[in-house]
Amino acid sequence: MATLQEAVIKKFLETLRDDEAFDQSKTAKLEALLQADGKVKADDLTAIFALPEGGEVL
Amino acid sequence: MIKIASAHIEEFRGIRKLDINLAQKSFAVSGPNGSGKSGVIDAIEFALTGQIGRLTGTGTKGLSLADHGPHVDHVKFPDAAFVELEVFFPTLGKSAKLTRKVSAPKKPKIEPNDPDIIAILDEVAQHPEITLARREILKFILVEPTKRSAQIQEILKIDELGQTRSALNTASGKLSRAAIAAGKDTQGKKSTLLQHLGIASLSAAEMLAAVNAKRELLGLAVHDVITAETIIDQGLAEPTDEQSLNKPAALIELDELTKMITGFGQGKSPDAEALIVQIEQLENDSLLLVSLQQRELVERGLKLVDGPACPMCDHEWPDEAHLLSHLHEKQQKSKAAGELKQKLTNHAALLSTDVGNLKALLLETHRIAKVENATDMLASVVAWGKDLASLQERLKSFSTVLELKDRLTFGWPAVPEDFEAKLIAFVDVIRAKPDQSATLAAQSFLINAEQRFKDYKAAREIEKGTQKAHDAGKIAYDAWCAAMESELDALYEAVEDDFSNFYRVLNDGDEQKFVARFKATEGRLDFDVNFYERGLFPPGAFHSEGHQDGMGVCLYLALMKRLLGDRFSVALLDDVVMSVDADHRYQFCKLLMTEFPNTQFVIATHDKVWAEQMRSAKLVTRKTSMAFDSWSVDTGPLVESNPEIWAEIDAALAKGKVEVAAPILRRHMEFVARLLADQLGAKTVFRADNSYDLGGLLPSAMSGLSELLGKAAASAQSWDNEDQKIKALERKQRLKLANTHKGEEDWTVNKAVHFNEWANFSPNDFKPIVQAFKDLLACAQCDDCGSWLYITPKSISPEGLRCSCNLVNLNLKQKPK
Repeated sequence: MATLQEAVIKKFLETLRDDEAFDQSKTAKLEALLQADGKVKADDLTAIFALPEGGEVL
Repeated sequence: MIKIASAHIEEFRGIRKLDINLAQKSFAVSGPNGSGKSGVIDAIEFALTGQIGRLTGTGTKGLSLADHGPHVDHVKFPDAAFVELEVFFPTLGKSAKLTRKVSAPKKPKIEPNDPDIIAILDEVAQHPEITLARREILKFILVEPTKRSAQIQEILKIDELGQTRSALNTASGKLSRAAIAAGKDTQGKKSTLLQHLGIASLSAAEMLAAVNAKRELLGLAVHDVITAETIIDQGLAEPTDEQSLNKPAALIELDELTKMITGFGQGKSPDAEALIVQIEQLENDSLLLVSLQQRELVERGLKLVDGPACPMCDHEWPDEAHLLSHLHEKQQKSKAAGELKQKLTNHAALLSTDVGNLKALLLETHRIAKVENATDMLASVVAWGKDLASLQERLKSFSTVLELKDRLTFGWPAVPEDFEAKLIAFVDVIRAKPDQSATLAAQSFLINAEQRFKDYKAAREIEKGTQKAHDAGKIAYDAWCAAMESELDALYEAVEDDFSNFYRVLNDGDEQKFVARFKATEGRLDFDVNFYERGLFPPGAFHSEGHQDGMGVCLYLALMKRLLGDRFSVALLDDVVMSVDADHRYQFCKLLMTEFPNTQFVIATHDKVWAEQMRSAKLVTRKTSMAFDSWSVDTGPLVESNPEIWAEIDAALAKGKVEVAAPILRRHMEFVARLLADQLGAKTVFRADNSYDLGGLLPSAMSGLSELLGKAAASAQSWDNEDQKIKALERKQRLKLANTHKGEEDWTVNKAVHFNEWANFSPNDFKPIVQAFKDLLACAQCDDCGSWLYITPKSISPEGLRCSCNLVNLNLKQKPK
């Protein structure tokens, strides 16, 4: 049975993936951030949202 | 998933040295108050999680694991206090030894060092909620909805979800402020471009007219159209002398600065005004300021939290979740102050943009003064520029913004006293310079126009980027909130169903239409229950204390089922159903056995009858239960068992200690009398205050047993069952004899125990008393398994008299005639 946290993260990522207006490179970054150990920091999220469409080349 | 096979506890809490064989099964520990049974719960909890729930939470200030975990005689030697568990891992088919010392609660020794085993034990350690004590039950039931929400969210670890929501909200807020600032910057750049071109709007017609007039003058091809890609000064070579002054352009810049300075005298900026009001609000409300300062500290602390130690004071918390929960609670308390802080920060950011615009004009003035070698003007510009840079820096931090009230009141620009006069003089100097040629002026115009056009376009791009980032942040925040709400609703619905089902099982035949309703709204969890189909009410409204206890346990079990699912393998229940009556406790056993067949429950209780009921209901067996008789600092808990009781009494009498032997006998008789009265359905005078004593219960129980044995003999006679008839009559005869002997000794034991006249008795006086009671009680026990006899079903017309192993199985129903 998935934990509540896992279920919320799954649904959150599904919603973003279904949103055509949302840059999917950001979804991938958010997924990695949410699955990493430790708590999520606002600055890390800000950096992801501020990335250019499609992410950075380097 | 784990199963505890055995526990070895040493110098821990009230226990000196104790070995328990749990045999991977549910286990009961009983004993009177203060006999050390909760120490067993504490020890297992500590071994599994590294903490003791009783030493944390509300009302435990000043208590700590390090100081109060070891036995009181070993507080200075926490290394001597440890718990060792033999744990079996069914999914791995492996066993391991887990040893945890009070001196190193976060560093358990696990043998073997198997990564799969370590991973499972790490997971268990994350769930201190496997322990439920009675004092915690009612926090689910009789609390305000906001507190209930917090308690339940803590158990479900929803604070982690809330923390991510908070981080997303903070990120969204930051991006929103960045987008607003970028928009303002774009407007500033646009305004500069419009002023330079001398037009009112950036329509193609107006721009073409302004630009082409200069291009025609320079003999350059006119632009047919103007788009974002147009290069305004296309075809114009860069001026060779970078230091040459463009008089008209310089006058435009200086004029702009002059206008801005004049504007400062005509009223304060709205952002500065708002900041003054907010700073005064804080000055006038000292509590608000204190709350805000604490919030600042808490927010700083929240960012620094990395483990169970407080980053500010090094206080050790049970785990990081406890610390975060404590900080979030404090943060919630200062919500109004936080909102004020947010407004203040927003206005400071907007004012900082105004300061930046003024600095940009000063930079231009600096360039012109440098070209003109106007040292006095240059020095004034540099001094003011530095001051503005410092102001901009102070506007970045909340604490330094609070120090700016005077500066904002007297005008944030703080134009240096003689600056305006110097500027007027400097403008006059520039104006007095001979006019540049129209060609040079046109060149400068186009070059500057192109630069400003580029600046404007760059600002627009930045604004677009920040807006997109803000949109992404907003979408993500909304998606997280929606996911959280939807999953929580589903969870509460599932908990609601499980809870109602469990409660119906607990109240078999009584509340079969019982339902509960959870209603979660922001920050609160309303909880209503059906009261005998009369409607939904808060649980404390009409239900009895016993029912509320039952609800608390059912809600806990429902939450654990949803939180841990298949991983709910161990639960430590410390005196949790004490207000629940005997019948409901049987149902409670049934609930645990049917709904949680794979969970190993370790249950502590001070009620010996309840301990015996757990055995009767087969939740535990005699082998998987332990009774404590008493406790002392030197010995720790004294384990009680039937054979050992008599051995203990004999040992005391051998030492001549009648004063030790007599209370052991008395307590044992009280326990057994109460138990037999219950199990044999003894007829006794009902007492509303429940104060049944030995003198009342024992004769009732024994005469009840005699009557039952008579019925069994009569039944055997009717069925022509000679074997049963002989057994029943033999036991009845034994009982009669034992009762006679007991009667002869009654006066002594009563006198000894009640009147404390130990000195009047010698061990030899007391030995016949012990033997008389021993013989009497043996009549109500199975000779083989040692369990106490009981009637079945438990009603006024029982059909059988049995023991746990069924060696005693006497039919009470006569053959119909």
